[in-house]
Amino acid sequence: MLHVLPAGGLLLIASLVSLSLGSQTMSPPELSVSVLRMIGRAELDTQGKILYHLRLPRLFLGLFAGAGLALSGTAMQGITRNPLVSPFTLGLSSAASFGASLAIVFNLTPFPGTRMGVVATAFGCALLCALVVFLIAGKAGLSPVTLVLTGLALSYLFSALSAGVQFVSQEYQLSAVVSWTFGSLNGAQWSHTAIPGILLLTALPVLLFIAWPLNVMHGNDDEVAKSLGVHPRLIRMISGGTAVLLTAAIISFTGVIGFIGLVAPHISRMLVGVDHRHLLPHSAIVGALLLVVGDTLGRTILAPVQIPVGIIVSFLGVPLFLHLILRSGNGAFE
Amino acid sequence: MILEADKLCFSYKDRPVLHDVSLCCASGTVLGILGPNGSGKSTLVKCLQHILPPAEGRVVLDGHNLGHMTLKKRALAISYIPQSLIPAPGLSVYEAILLGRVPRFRWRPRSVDYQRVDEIIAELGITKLTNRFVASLSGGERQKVLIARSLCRDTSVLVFDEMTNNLDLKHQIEILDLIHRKTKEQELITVLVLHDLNLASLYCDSVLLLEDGRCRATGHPRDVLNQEQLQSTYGIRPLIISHQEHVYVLPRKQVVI
Repeated sequence: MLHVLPAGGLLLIASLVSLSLGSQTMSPPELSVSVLRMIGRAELDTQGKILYHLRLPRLFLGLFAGAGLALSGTAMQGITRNPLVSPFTLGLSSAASFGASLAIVFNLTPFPGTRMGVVATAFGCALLCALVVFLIAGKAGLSPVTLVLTGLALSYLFSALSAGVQFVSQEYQLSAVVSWTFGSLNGAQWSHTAIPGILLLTALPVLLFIAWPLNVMHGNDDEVAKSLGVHPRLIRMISGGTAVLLTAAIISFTGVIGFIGLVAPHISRMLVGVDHRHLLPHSAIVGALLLVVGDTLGRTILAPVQIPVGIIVSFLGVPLFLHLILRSGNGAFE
Repeated sequence: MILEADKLCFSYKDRPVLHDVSLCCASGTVLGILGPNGSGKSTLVKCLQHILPPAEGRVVLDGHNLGHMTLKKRALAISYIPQSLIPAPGLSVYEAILLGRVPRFRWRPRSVDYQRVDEIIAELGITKLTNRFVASLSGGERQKVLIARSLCRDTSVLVFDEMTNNLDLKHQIEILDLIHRKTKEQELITVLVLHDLNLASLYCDSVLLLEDGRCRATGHPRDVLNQEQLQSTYGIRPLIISHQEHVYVLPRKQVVI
């Protein structure tokens, strides 16, 4: 537990700063009063309403999304033994983008014209893609290479399908699709936090339960895993399935926030090592930290313009990542 | 306790690799698997733990057919270490050894697991290494970590595939001394895949000579490592010397200029 304390402390500070900054800045005492009024169910003033309806749901969606994407990335890199893998390697981002395009351009969704409609179609397409990847890779033995290559192939397919939909779309629809793919927390509501939150709180114990098999699979090939009594296929199904569900749910709400799932596991690996008992919770915290800091900067540095968090996260994460690579010498994965 | 393999056959897709190979090894003895490159040595030891399930034949340990056991039960019966394995490069030495206890705990190690790892580390004299990363170890130290991982599993059978490759002579002898001593002390069954015929002669109680996936000869090293067998299996004519119950195989130039 001690491993996560420094990152956890930073996350707490970043969350409080995020809550206090915005069009109306709140001092720590004002923030405390508003939170106490919320807890006491007293009537909220303007600041309290901003906090409750805008900043808190946005913060929680950011926390859940960042932690979830990082957790999925850690699980995926563990089961594929590949440092270049992210939660989107199985084609999820392209499939979700295709789903969002279908909903935005053709209104092909169970809830036409609503944000939840886009969410549902993006989620459905991402899951469909993951299912196809697992079925095809499963036929070929579900090895790390077949999993990654099948994901890559499906990713290209869904990118082409998305491009096809965008090609026939109107200009205003195209703009909506493109801004969805930037990935952002704009317009976050409490209702958007429930599904990512529940899935995150389910995925973390599931992945921690298989932390030792993941340790075995991370540094050893399948034969060694079998010799230690670990079923590589079973662990790949559990871990991959959990990562897919979590990622699909998150990006359906936030759009594609790409960098966190790749880089947060590497940052944590450099800081706490490759033991998944420590790595999983730590990378979840680092992912949440990157997203919350990125989002806070994105909505304040050029206010009132809100820069999508997906863009800011890359600006923040790349220098940090490069610094850690240079410091650790041998890269992130060893 | 006896480990028996009975007429094992195995093919990689359409390419047969093992044909009716049988072996028998008792507690407290070391069996050496010898043969030229590509003769099926590694495949044979993988078949022993059913990492590659044999197409025909069976492996029986103390009367129990390994083919009828679960993956976990097999992991508790036989500890197999493949060739050129780096024991989890990103982990510390302690964690890499603790991986050997994975088949023995459910979702996290108990105090008995930590205790066993501590005992093995003290026994092998590698306490100084425990906090180092595996990636920073020398070849000989890595092999000791692998042996520690195997021993802390508390299996009755140890299988090592080419453990002494890439080690200098001092470390080869140190590693094989250690394996030999533990086999005798703890009445283990040890199967070693070896390339070095002299080391096989020194450390193995019996050897099995493979040629093209078939058992060419089996028995005491003194009986198997003779001019005729080595010429027909390896296609060479070495010089064979007997010294203090052991035979030594000295290579000779095949082409004299």
